[in-house]
Amino acid sequence: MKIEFDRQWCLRMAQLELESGADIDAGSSPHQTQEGATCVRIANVEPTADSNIAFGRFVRLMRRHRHLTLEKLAEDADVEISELVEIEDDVRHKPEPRTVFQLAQIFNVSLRANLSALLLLYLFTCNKKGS
Amino acid sequence: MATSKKTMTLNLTDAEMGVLAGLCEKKDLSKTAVLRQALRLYQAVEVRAERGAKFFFEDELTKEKAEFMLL
Amino acid sequence: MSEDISPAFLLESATGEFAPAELWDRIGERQLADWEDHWTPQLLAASKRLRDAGVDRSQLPQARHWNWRNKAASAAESLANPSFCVMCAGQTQGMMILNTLPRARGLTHRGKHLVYIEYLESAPWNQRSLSIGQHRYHGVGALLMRVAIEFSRQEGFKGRVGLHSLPQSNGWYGSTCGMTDLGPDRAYQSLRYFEMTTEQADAFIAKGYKP
Repeated sequence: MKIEFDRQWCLRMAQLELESGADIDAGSSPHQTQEGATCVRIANVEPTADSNIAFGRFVRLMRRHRHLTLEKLAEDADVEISELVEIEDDVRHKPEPRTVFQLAQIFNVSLRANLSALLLLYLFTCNKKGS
Repeated sequence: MATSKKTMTLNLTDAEMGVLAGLCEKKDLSKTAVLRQALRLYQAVEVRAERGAKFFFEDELTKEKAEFMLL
Repeated sequence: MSEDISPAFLLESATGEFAPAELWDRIGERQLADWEDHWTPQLLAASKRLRDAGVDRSQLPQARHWNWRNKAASAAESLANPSFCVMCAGQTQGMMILNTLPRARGLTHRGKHLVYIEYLESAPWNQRSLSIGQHRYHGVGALLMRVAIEFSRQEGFKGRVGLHSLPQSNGWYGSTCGMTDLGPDRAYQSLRYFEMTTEQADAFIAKGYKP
């Protein structure tokens, strides 16, 4: 699709953007489900990955070891609480690579465990790309 | 994306043409636009169905769901 | 797969001068590499700075959770989800994915087809709230909004556009773009939903020709 952008138009609109002082974004958060007149309910038929189970248990263990609530961990790690719930409770859930990285940092894991976390991160990224 | 468009001839029954014409008028779209939208919707539904999703219609008022059967 | 490239212009913050830019009608590997190598690190660093400065999590850029690689991959396989990006100075300045399936909700054109902006993000250095050095380019959002309108027109939807605005952009869409604010949408984490009618689309474009 080709569009003709008039130079004057681009300049004027850029100036309006500047004057508005706004940052311009649009879109929904990643964990929202779309509802409306046409509902599409997803029945997950993907096979369970052992790594998902292990990771979920790891996160729950580390969280409880630190006496953290889900809310506190979500806040400290700067991740969505809804995803944390899914990580711990839903063995089919595949966390975002960023989430894995953030949790690894929060749990202050050792170098050896960091390598394990990085391996997990790599595995999840591959799974995401392959899915 | 840079796409060269191809032309195809479509044979439709009187009933199908009637539906198409009705949708065009209702949606204020050309025949091509309606068929293009239909193809997009078909593809979107197929992708979800292949993942095991079920297709429901929900009554806005009663929130009652009725499955739209896909075979 | 190749893309159509349309010449455009942005306004460079530092100089106040025109910067030649390009509108690509596809998000490809080059853009995703920019997102991974440049956008994400700067966005995360800026978010951390804001948190360290005591900014509440709810005020941090929501798009820091977005995975453009996944989004672009899904869009590439879907006829209903065209993607676009703005390039300038060899870097990706903004990206957008549209959806042609949703319908209008506003009373005046309820049920009519529109182009829905699924995701739109400007590069972190173009976002004032992130305070990343000097704000670099203005005009990315306006360009992408124009693209959405033109695509809507091309599809026969007469310029109608819909979107859920992230909070920091409500003023832009409501006031500057002149869209109708249909209020917070509980199905979308209470993000405000905006729609643009045919007349509003014409008015938005006309703004660019007024002194």
